[in-house]
Amino acid sequence: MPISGLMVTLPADGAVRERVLAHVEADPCLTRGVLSGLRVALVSETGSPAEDEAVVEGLQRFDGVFVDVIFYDFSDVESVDSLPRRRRRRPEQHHAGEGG
Amino acid sequence: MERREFIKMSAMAAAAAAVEAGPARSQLKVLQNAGVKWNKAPCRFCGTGCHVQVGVDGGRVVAVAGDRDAPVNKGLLCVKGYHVGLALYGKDRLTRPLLKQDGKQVPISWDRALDIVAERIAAAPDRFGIYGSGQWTIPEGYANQKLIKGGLGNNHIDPNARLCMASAVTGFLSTYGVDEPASCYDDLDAADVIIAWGNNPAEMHPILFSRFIDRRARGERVVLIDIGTRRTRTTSFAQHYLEFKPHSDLAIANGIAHILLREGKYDREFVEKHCGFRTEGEKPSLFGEAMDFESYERQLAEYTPERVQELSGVPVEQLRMLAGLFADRKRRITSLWCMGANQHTRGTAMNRLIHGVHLLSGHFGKPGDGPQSLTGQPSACGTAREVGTLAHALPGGRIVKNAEHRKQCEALWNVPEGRIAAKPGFHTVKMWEAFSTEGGGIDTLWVQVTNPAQSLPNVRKLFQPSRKLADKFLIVSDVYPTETTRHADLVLPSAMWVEKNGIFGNSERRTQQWFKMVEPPGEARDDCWQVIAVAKRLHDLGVPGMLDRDGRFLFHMEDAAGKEVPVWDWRRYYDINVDERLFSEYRGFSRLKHKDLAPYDEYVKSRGLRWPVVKGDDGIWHETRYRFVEGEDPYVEKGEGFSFYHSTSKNGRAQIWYHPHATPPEVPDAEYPFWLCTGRVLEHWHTGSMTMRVAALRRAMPNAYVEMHREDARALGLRNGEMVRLETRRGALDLPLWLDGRGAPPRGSVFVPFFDEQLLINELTLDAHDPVSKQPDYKKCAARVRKPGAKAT
Repeated sequence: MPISGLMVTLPADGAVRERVLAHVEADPCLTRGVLSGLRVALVSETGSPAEDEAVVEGLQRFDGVFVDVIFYDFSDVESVDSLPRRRRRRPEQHHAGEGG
Repeated sequence: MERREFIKMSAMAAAAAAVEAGPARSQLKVLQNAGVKWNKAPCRFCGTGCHVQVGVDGGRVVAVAGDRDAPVNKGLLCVKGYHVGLALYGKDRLTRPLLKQDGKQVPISWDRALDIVAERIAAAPDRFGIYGSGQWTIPEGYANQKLIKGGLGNNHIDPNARLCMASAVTGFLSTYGVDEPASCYDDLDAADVIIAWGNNPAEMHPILFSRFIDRRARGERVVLIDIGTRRTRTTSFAQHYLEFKPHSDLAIANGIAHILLREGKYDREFVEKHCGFRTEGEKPSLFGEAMDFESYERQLAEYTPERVQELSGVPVEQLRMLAGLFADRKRRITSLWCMGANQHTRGTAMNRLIHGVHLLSGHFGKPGDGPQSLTGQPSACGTAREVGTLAHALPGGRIVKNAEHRKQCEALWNVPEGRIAAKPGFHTVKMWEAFSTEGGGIDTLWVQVTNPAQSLPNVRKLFQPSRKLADKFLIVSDVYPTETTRHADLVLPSAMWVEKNGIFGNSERRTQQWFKMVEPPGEARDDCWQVIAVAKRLHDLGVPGMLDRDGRFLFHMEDAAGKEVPVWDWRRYYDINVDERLFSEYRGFSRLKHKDLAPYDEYVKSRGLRWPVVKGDDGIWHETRYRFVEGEDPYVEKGEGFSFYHSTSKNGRAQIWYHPHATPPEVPDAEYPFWLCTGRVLEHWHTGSMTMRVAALRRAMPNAYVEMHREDARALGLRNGEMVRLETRRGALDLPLWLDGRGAPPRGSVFVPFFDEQLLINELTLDAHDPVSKQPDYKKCAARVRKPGAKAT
């Protein structure tokens, strides 16, 4: 259950900025802190590192938003995964200059 | 208060302090959770060199925070950097030495593993090579360098940094006579104009980019210009985007110089006082041939804006706008570049031309006004460049070809004269060719802290053949299973980041130290110890070179009482601080080319210091922000203004080079009509061996893909998300197609990231390389795309 402290720089475009703030208000994982100029403090509290990452990604989808991380606690995250086994895709034998 | 509530409040307090006071002025105290012990370390990932506060509880890293005292990142971390603590805890960490027997890797003891390594080396010391990394700590690189060059008298050592910044090295050396940037990150706080030459700092160096974002958020007008071959996240923040045809960046730089000369807008006084002119000679070299100003002007005459538009695709108006900025000496211009300019068969030339535009226009040596190349690895500068772990180099800017340099190094290492071989070893591409060729010059190769089976270009030629040759033995030290460890004959499990002591050197000449904070898992051990332990076994086997002039072991170390400490014995390795001992020895080399380092303890106290670091009359060790500038650089005399005191022309002048535009070794044609460019993504660091273990990052970017322009896809009948076959003359790969994704290549161009070990894009890339730097070009080759099973047209 990671907790992140984020500094988010908002876009100069007022309409987009409002949409970002509305997105923050609507996301139960996010707690909004002080807003100063184009910067806002947020805390993200999620169930897993993956959800935490999704929250950040969701913010960065807005044009002109830039997220800096100030603090990240993962003390109760047991461990991260091993690399999942994926079968390597091998195209049929390729020959240099093959014209098909 | 519940602990969790406390953590949440701490997180909010930290973020609020940064928001209200600005990251640079945050007065936040380091968070002191009950039971959590905090200490500093530079981030493990890119070359920016951010400092992290690392929280340890119960023998585990449990939290990270941006370090408010760190001048590089001022309390901030990027989305990748804040996972650096989690990257230690993948379930599949390598924890025991593994030996390949009958096609399977089986656990063996460290004793047996070290015996095997030593016996392989002892059997043919001159056919042994080390392939290292810009992720080596400085002491690790130094120990390897000393073992092979000062011990075995063999120069076959090269780092993967050859693949990422070798052209920057040759660019600096041939322009200023000495490597590494004259300027520093402070420029980002003072520049009026920031130019990204073929790089994407918003994703690859986000903390540096956030300095620019911060200034903009405060209402400052800073112009960002993105010069690229594909739109990226950086483009979305830029006022101007100049899209050029691959390989035509030289024409753009020549075009700027042409306009400055034709309109009389170059900085005549600076150029006449401080610069000379050079062009390529018959053979590629760092020195070229001298030319006069008139010849330089004549060579540039053909690069009219119209001609440059024709060559590069950049409209005349945009070129004039760019030249106009350089013509205005009141503006402060910072140029940033990284892999786009470096991974280029004309990489040395492109680096020289960027420096040249700044020198010609006098945009040099003032805060915010200068060229600043960036690196991709945390110690590409510190270890590869400064320690000189390249096949031709020695520590302290010395080179093996120079007899006087060899003598200096032999004296500092206290090894007999004549120990260091005069012939450069194999550079990366040659080393792997030799290893992949039956009877080639390398039989045993020890890979440390890197993943060449994935990151080398054209791996089907350079890496894979070696795995079928009986006389080749591959040793790999790493922290996780990788494409390279899977093919290794012997795998050695390594400690990672804060599981060991370390020192890195970042892109702005900043040397950064940290202490071990947690134990490595299982039997994983420090890379530096592995080197010393092998050296001791070589000594015991009687291999010449393991003794110094006084008959002492090459890595002889003593405790405070003067008693030898057997640091080759893992149980005793941390009885003393081996890093401190090696660094103190290495420091003697740093003064040979005015890259002076301070004593180890100064780095313990600081968040890094930028060399040259010299002790002032006040008794304080002072770092240097701007080199070659009076009042900043301690080696520039009063009254000189500027002095390029390592000038290749021996007259205190920097060199402005002329290089013509030239066609690349492979260009799209009727059979392979697309340009293929490869690179990185925000979530993953290089080959993904660490970041792919962090589920959050892996889920955000689970696999490689091919980006293509929507119109090209439509013309080929391809849809977003479907599997397509990408082919070059070297191989084929099936990948999902991503249209309108994060990056936007123009028509006729595709992009594939290289982090995915399941989709090895480097089976398709070209191993053609720059003739001076020997750095390969990963950014352009000819490719075609079709539906799997469909005929190529």
